[in-house]
Parts: sequence; C-alpha cells; structure tokens
Amino acid sequence: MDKAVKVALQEFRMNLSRREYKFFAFVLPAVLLVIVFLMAFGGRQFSLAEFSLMKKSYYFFAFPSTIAMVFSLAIFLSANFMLQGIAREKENKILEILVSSVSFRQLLTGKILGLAMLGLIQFFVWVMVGTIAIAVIAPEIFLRLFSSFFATWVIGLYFLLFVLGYLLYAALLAAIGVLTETRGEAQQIGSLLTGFALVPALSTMFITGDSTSLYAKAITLFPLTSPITAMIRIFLRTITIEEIVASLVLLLITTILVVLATARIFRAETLMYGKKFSIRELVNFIIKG
Amino acid sequence: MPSVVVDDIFKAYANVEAVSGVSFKIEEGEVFGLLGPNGAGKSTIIRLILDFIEPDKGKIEVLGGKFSEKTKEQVGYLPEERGLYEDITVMDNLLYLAGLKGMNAFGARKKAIALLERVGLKEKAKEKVNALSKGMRQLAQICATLIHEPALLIFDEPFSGLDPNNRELVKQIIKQEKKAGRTIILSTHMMNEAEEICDRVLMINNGRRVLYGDVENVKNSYASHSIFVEFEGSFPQLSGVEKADVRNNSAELSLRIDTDPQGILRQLVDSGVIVRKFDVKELSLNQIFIRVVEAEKWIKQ
Repeated sequence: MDKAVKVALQEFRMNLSRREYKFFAFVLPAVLLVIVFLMAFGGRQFSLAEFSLMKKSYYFFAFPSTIAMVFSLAIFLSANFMLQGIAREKENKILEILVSSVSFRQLLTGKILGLAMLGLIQFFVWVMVGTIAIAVIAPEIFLRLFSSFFATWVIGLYFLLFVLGYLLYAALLAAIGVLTETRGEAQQIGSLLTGFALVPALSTMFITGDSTSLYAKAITLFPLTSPITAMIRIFLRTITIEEIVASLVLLLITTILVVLATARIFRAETLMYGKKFSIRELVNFIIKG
Repeated sequence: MPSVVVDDIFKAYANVEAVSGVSFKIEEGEVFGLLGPNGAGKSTIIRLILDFIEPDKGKIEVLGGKFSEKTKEQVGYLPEERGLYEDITVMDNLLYLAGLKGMNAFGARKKAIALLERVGLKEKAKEKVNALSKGMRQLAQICATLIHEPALLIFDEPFSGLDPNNRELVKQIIKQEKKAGRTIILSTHMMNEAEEICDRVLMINNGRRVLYGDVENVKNSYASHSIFVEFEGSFPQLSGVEKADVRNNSAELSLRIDTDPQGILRQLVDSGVIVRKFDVKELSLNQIFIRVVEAEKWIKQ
C-alpha cells in the first residue's frame, strides 16, 4: 500500500473519532431527520403551492443560508483538521519521525486524502439527509426535483464545488500550519480564513434578494467564497451557465496553484525547524522551488 | 562497506556555518559516537544524513548510495525532541509508524509486543501516550525506532530525561542491537555513556571536526597531557604546566597541549627532586572534550 494511503487512513481514523466531527456528521443529521419525521407524522407537510408562497417571503433566505452553512462547515471542519493536525504534530515533535519514514509529498497527499474522505462522508450524509427530508416533508417538491435530470446534475455540481472548495481550504490551512510557530498562532490566522468561508452563508439575504448584483457576481467568482455562493445560487436557479463555468475555472486554477505552492513550502526548513522566510523569500521559493 | 560516508560537507544558515568541511565514515556494525557541545552541529549532521536538508557542498552516502525512499525503510531514527501521537494508544502509534516503514500489520504487532516487553511496557500497550510518564514515552519511542529492524539506527540524545535505571536499559539495548549487526550512530553530549559503548567517535565543535577515530586512540592521543607524580624533596616550578595540584609528596599536573611529558620528567630530574612515580594519566572523553572546547575558545581569543 502506498505510504500516502497509509497516512490518509491514519488521518481519517484519528479525526473520525473527534467529537466535533461525530456531532456534525452524524448526530446533527440524525436530529434533523427525527424532527422531519415527527413533523411528517404530525401531518405537517409542504406542498408545491406553499413553497412558491414561501419563496416570496422575506425570511426565505433562511433555506439557502442553512444549506450554505451546512456545506461551509463540512468544508471547513475537515480543512481545519489539517491545520490542527500539522500544528499538533509540530508541537508534539512527531514530524521528524514521520519525515524519516515518508516523503513530504506523501505526507501532504496523505493528509489531504484522509481529510477529504472525512469531508466527503459529511457531504454524502447531508445530501442523503437533505433528500430524505425533502421526500418526507415535501413529497411534491421531491418528485418534481428528482424526476428531472436537474437533480442529478445539481448534485454532481455540488460535489465538484465541494471537492474543489475543500482542496483549496485544506491546502491554504496546511500552508498556515507550516508557516506558523505555535498552535495558537495557527488557530488565529485560520480563524481569519473562516471568515471568508462563512461570508456566503452570512450574506445570503443579499444574494437571495438581488442575485444579479455586483456583490453576488463578485463572491460567485472569488475562489474563497465561490463554492458556497455558487451552491446557493444554483439552489435558487439564479445563476447563469457562464457564471458557473467561470466560477469553476477560476476555482480550479486557484486550487491547483495553492496546492502546488503549499507542496513547495511543505519541507524541513519550514515544517520542522521553524525557519521564518520573508514574503519575498517565500514567493521566490514557491516560484523556483 | 561503510554504512555512512560523509565527504567534506558544508551547511550554512543565514551566513553562519553550522557544518564546515566535515568528513567521516561509519563502518557497518559499529557504534559511532557523534559528540560535541550544544550547538556544535551534531543535529545538523544528522539531518543531512537523513536527507531532511541538503548540504551546500559535499557528498553523503547512506547504506551504499544516495538517500532514497527505500533507504528510509532501513533507517531507524530517534530524534532529540521526542514525540508520539498523544491521544492514541502506544500500540496504535507503533503499528502506524511500523506501517510507514513498510511492515505488515501482523508482523508489526508481533514485534511491537516483543519490544514493549523488552522495555517493560507490555501492560501499557493499550494506554494512550498522554497517560504515560516522560520516561515511559521515551522507551515507547525507542520501540518505534527499533520495530522494523533497520540496518542503521540513529539515536539523538537517547539518554536525556531518563533515570539511571532506564539509562542503563537503553545502553543494554544499544549493545544488543550492535550484537544483532546494526550500525548505530549515537549523538550525545554525555561523554561517559559514549566512552562506555562507542567504538569510534567524531567530536564536533563549532561545526568543525576536532577529533575522530577509535575511542582508545583518541584517549591515547591525549593521555600525555595529565601526569601523576610521587616525589621526595621540594617540588620545583615547571614550565609547560597549565595547572599543578601539589601536595606533600604527590602532584597532579595538567600539561599545556604542546608540552611533551618527557620534558616534564627531565625538568624534575634536573631540579634534584627524587621521582618515585611518574604516571602519564589517561583522560576520559569528558576531560578531552572539555580541553578541546577550552582550547578552541583560547585560540579564538
């Protein structure tokens, strides 16, 4: 078995047992399902007509906002484990032992893969729970959505956006973990990034209200906010094909560049021996290797 | 065939030479001491051997060639700063690290149990590392270093933080591993331990090689710089002596580095003193180490 896979399995195993992961990936979806089933058995279901009325309500943004929050947290939880893992391994000094057994490339790849598995589990759990919830609480909408190709296409797009969003955040947080000295410093800088991840979820009412605004277009294209914004606008069917393509292309290019740059700084001097580089040196390093 | 060949390596950090023109060979099956004070460059040399960092100049060969992914599986490394995953069990740590060295799960488990038994930690196998004392964690980490039966072992300060019993245990382990045919690099500033178990040594100071060779030869080359004399008569002033501890009928003399003991004997005889005993003392590695470091300081000044 390739060593990157062994690292991936270890990252997966160690983080699967974490309380915050189990709560968000399993407990919360289970609670939601229980609520939904209780509502359905209590006779409370939503028809297509009711849904159309709700769309006109001021509070409708809560729907896409919830979806955005769920997927933002799913991306960010897994990516944050990357930051915490590297910072912890630096603190525990286990990095030297790991690097005496695997290459830096295998270590970074293994970590990204292992945490991606965790992220994907969350993604599929929430997609399944969401699908079951719609089927139970709004069967008319469920039939309409899933009888067309649209639903599969949407889930496929959501999957792509989720994976790219995760890779981007995971690579960025890995870089932060490498370049910071202490776990505290890493967490502080990582929290700044959380801000970007939550921008779409927190500004849903602006996107729902006027999805052709410059603000909505901008955060659809900006890589750090594009995965979740695109998901919201796809749900609301207020995004054009051109915007989807542009957002995906920008996201893909940015993700590739960030992953490559992180791979270049994932090395002994920065990872294990805390060598501080100036911004110029770092840029030189990333470009020239 | 030598296990490690280091040829004229240089490594600088921010214009400070951490290692400068160091060359040495480590023969297969020997215990090689890499000695020196803190900041001498020992850890840098180890990182260069392990290919964590690259030399600015020079060449290093490990186990017959350039360091590769395959070489990693044949090397066991115990770093100076210890670390295992704190929130998983000792056994899980050992199995994971053994897996990264290419071992299969079944073989790794069997070997892990045997090693834990050897260091007295068999009952602790299922406990989380954060529940162990510092000494136990270090012993657990030594097991992680040995589990894949590597051809080359590198121990960086293996005795630090250990009580005398565990220090003795680690010495025994090193001797047993040597008997099993492994090559061992022991980096330490604990000269007494090094003297007891090393076959050959390399002493580093300020990134440069200051002593190199068999422990006995190194000690013999410094033997002539300490003399014990028993005498009758009045002890004269002697030239070429750094320090003289004179009592009624005996004196302990520390000679300057360039002083020949025969010259001291001639001075004593010429002064009329009756020499009853003239003993050229063997210095310990520790005393040699202190001398060399002080001499370098003196030369610098």
